[in-house]
Amino acid sequence: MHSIVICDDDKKFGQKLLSEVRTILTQTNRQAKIHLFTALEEIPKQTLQDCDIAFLDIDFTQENYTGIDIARRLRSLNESAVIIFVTNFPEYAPEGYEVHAFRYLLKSDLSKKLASYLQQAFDHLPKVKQVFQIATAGDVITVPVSDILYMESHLHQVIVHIQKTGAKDIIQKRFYASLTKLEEELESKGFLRIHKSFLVNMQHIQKYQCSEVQLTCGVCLPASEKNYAQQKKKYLLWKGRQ
Amino acid sequence: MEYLLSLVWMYIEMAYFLVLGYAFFHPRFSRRVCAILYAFSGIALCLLLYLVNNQLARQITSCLLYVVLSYSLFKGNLLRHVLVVVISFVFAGIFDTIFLYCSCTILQISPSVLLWRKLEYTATFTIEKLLLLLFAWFVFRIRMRGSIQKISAKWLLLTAIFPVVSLIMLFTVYFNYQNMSDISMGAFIFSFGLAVANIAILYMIHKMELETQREQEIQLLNQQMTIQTESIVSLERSYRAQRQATHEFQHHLQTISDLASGNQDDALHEYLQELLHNQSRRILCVNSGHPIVDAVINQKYQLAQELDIDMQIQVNDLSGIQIKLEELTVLLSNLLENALEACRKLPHDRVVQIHLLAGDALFLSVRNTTEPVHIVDDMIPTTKTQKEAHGYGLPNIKRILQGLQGEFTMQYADGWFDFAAEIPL
Repeated sequence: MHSIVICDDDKKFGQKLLSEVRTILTQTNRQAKIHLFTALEEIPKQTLQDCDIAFLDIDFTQENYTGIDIARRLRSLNESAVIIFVTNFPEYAPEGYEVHAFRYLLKSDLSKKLASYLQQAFDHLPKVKQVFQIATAGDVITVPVSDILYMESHLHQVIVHIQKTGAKDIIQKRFYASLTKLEEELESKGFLRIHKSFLVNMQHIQKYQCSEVQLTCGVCLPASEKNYAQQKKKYLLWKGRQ
Repeated sequence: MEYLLSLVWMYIEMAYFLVLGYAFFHPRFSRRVCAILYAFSGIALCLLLYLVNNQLARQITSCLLYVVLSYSLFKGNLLRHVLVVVISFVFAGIFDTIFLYCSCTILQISPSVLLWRKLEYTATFTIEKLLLLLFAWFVFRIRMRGSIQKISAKWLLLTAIFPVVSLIMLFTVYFNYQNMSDISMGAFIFSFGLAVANIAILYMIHKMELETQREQEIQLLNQQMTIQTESIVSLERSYRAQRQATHEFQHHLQTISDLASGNQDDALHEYLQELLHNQSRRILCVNSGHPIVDAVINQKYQLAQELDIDMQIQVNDLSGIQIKLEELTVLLSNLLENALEACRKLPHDRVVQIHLLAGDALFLSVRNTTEPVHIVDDMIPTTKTQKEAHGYGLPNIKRILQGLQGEFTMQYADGWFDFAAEIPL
């Protein structure tokens, strides 16, 4: 069952939002546990870790923090939660991008847009929680797709380079597979074949130039110049859809 | 040996047409592919000319083949290719005649005698072909690649009349004097006159393209002025709102001061509670650190609200970007205006998503829901009624991005139009 967290210092609005969310869940035949809070201190750590969708007010007038701070706390515990800021007046700012805010919902537009935004949030959830299974010798390992930096083809094996969220080390897992087949399977999950030997997770691309791709972890990989124009276009379009 | 020489001269002549092609058009393929096609075309031309016995038919076939080659290797409409190839063909024919006349005059022999002197004959035609190629290279160098503009079909058609008539007259003169043992001074002057006139036509095309480019620059400047005026109006509106907010703040301070000095603690507490609960109005919906970006997006956001379009924005810290203000303004305004215009045609589900993210490069993306869109050569046929006034939107965007050495792409899929660009910083 999904977990939805609502945090708004305006108790009346918080109740209203909870009621509307419940109604929409009933209408769409979805099940979710909804937790309502009025302050950051009230929210247990486990609730944040298990949270799938969070509705966070931005302005906490009586407190010395904002909804952005709550979002930062949430992100430090939960990379995959979908955050929807609820506000009287929108202010799109770098802080919102920093915490990967999904949407900004105006309180005045609640009845008009809540259903649509909630549906989009549910549609988005599977994408952020995607996993990939690696069948090594006698064992099957499940890795979140977001932790995979890139895959490298070496002889008949594929080496998967993984960096867990928050970790500095990169670990490698090897298994027998065809990089071309993996490209077909993972293209829809945000992977790009930059070179005949490299399949890269576009989430981790820092810079993509003619003959080289630099990842956020600092690793530089060679890129095919012949296919650069075509692949760069795919990357740009993918980035615009995030 | 003669056949080999003929082949070499033919390839040099083809190179002449190829270089002029590069001077007047954008290539369709990479230079390597062009070179391969050029090599194969030479062989095909050789074979075809071998099969055609009649002199006139041979000339016409050559001309047609060069048009086909030009159209295959370079972009541009067919009429333009016909015009440039015909002028080039006429000029090559005239130059042949003039050079032959000059060579015969210097050597003090007639053309029919020259044909029997292998050394002089070979030298004459080799030098002539190389000079022709040099002329083409010279034209290529003085032409600005960036000024290859679209001239309207009406003007191209009118301009094409003289070169086509020249070609007919040239064939007429050629088939009249080929039976003579000598080239008359009359034929020489006639050829020279035609050459000058056709060069003048080429120069006129060049000037027309410069005019078209100037017109577009003027349109771009006008558009920049309009956008900047709109931005100023929007900024002025925000400034007035800020002044009002400051005035209200001063009023609140006065009230708090009066309540505090009157020892009305309960009333003061109640007043402060009410004040805190009323959210302070934000003047700008975007705060990226770049005031111009904020102003432009805010203006479009307000328009989106009026049109019931859901505008979703992702920005990070843009305070450090160094792109020229006028270029950034026109780029953003055009993209957002196109997006809003496409969205407003929809009865529902009107969404515009904007990304403006600065890192190693500036990433700019505008996505919007839209009716199906047909994209041809990174252009969308304009639906606006005043094409002259509004048709420069997307070309303006492309020009600015090319000037900034940015990369961009666009596509339509599943009810969404995506435009994404990356500009080096």
